Amino acid sequence: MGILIAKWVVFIIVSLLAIISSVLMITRKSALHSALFMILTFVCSAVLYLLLGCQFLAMLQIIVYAGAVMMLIIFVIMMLDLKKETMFKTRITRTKIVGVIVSLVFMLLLMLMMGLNGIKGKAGTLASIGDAKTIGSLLFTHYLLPFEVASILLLAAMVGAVMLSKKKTMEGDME
Amino acid sequence: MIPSQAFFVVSAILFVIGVIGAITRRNAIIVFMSIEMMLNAVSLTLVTASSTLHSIDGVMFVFFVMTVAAAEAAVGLAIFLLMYRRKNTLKVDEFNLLKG
Repeated sequence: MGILIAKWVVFIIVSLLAIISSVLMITRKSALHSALFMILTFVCSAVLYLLLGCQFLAMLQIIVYAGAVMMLIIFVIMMLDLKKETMFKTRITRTKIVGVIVSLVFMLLLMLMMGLNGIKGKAGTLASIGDAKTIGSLLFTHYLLPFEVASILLLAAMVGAVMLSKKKTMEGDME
Repeated sequence: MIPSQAFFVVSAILFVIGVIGAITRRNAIIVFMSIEMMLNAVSLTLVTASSTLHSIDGVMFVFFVMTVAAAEAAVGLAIFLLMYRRKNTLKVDEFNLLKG
């Protein structure tokens, strides 16, 4: 009973923190502040994964998302001079207002459907979904083909990123 | 056990905040981060389903979503650098070559 109450307390605090920091992320003017709030959101969702009993994915979330991806984004923000962007006020057009209203209605519908129905389906037999052993052994047996395809995708992304950023500098040297 | 509905509601809210960010902001990097947030919210849904149903499929799906997000970030940020070099700005309204 005590553990359940503690779980609820952690859940409520962490999800409020995630929601507040994501709202701050889309409202801050400076892109760097947005990126820092984004990291906070990612860490909060890692804690939510832990609450769901999925430790491996929580670690992966922190390493890959809050570590690598956000590091890349912050790196790019710091390389570019985005001062001009922060000067302008965000124009509020009719399209944006309609878009926000439609997405809020969408949120209400989503919450209604998911909150009322929950999830139904044939339950599996796994005792634990979180440990690296289960995930690793399945990854190299049942999910081997997607794993290989993902490695090819990563290679393509790597080559693409190098090509995209290299070609331009060579042209710039020639000009 | 916290009911799965609570997690679903949280991920719905996070997803819609991401949608609103992608619609309203004009800075390309913030639009990109909003899209990452939408991916993250969907991942939370998948993990919740996986945990409720005691099945590993959702976790595997999130694993591959993370891979794709990392690849997307690498290529996308290289494209942002090119965009900035070409026009000296990252406002998405300025990039209307395709007359969208």
